[in-house]
Amino acid sequence: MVLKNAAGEQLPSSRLTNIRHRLWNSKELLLTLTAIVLAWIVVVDVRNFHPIVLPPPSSVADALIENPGSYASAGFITFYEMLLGFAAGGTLGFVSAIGIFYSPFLRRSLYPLLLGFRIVPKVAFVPLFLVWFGIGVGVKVALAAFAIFFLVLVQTLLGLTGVEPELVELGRSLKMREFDILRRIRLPAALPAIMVGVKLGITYALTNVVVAEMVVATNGLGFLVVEARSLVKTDEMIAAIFVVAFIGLVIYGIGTAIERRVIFWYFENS
Amino acid sequence: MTATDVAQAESAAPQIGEKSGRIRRFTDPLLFAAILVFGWQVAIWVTGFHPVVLPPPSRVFDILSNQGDFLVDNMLTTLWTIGWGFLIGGVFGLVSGILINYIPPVRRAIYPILVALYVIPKAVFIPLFILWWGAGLQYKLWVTSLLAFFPVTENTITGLQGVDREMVELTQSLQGSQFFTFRKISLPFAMPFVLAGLRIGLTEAFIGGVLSEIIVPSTGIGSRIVEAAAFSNTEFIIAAIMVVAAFGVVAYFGFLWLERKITFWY
Repeated sequence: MVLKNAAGEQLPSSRLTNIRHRLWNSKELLLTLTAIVLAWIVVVDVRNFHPIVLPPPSSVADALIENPGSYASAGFITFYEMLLGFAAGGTLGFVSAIGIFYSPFLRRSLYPLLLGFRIVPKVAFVPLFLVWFGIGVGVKVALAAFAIFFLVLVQTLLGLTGVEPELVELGRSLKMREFDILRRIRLPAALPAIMVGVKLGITYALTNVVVAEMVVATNGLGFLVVEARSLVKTDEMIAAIFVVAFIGLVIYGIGTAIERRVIFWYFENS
Repeated sequence: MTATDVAQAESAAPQIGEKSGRIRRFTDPLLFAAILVFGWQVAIWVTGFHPVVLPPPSRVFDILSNQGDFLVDNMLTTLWTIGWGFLIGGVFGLVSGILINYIPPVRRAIYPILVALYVIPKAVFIPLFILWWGAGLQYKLWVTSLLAFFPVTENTITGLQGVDREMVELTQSLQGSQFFTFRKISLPFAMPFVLAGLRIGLTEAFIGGVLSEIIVPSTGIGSRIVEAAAFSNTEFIIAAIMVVAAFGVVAYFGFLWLERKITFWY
């Protein structure tokens, strides 16, 4: 804190130049984004698209400004269910991975099945989850948890099997119990792989919650998109798509930040 | 960066069973599946679930043996979409990955947008696509190829970025042309990444094919699942999922095998 006071005058200007540098470095990106919006406006104007087919950006912005409450509440529902699904699926995946790791039979038998199973589109299970967990929160959280379960499980196993044998040997030679070896050696060494699972897991969770909302649900952002489509309000639909995209970017940022905090030593070394 | 994470998540895995014998590698999963089916049956005996909630395995196998042809026919329709979508998305992904990597202004302009699009749930675009291209095959191909496109692009760029600079410079100092360098140095180097990207693309194409059918049911296995759900025909849903899983697993491990053959040095 003392340092900050001492550099108090320096800080704002250096931050400003920092921002200026960043903007200059991403000038091509900013130009492209501007060009996309301009092209959108021009195409709508010149080709004379009906607003149902492609509304101009201004009416999408209007839809967002007119009714921010409905997007915010739908976004909150989606976000909340995403967290629930992530917590449930992540915990189950993590615990199962440790179980499978310590059982050679399960490693040989269940693991290849799980691996192959990842290509099976989880959406196909929506009707089953609907019967088992009910419409509303149940089916959405179930789908998200189901998808993340596989990801976190495989990532955790990958991390655990990749631990250097020397480290485990060291632990054994120090007469550590297997639980301590797991807690103090295996899991910390497996963390980088697990964190990839966590980071991608929140993204998968969002995707699956939104997909479930599109297929069966009665609220949330995915539902908002589908509802706007059936009411032929394309501007509201695109606005909802933007909100989903925004949440997607934010949670990916959060995931990356968590990863950097938890395994800072991994990034320092490489 | 994201796709590389996924690639790591998806690729390194199958090494785990390597110490076990060749036979047990195949018999153990089968044994486990048998235990699973037995546990399923026991669960029904113990809890007495209504067949709509959880039908006994025998009923599912009945469906598989009686209506197996019908299910496989529908799966083949879906597989056709998946195959074409994968091909289109893969080719476009590969080409745009190479172009983006070798034209720096384009890379700075487009790469962040690609990463952003990779991270957000692309399923939300589906209603927009239905609006633009109708609910037919064209829309399904758009969804499938778009989902397959991103991991391939992303991984191609990551692979090409990692090429050893010194090797490229060496080749060029020996009068190797740009194309020669690309063909002999960069492409082989990036190959494992490209293939991993294609494998993720295949997984995404499977999702796209089934998802687009579930959202607008018409033809294909996804539509049959939605129909069966409307009639609370749970055994049919489970049988259909098994068919999708069987085709998916064969495609996945087939691709994995092909990948090992192509990048045998990796």
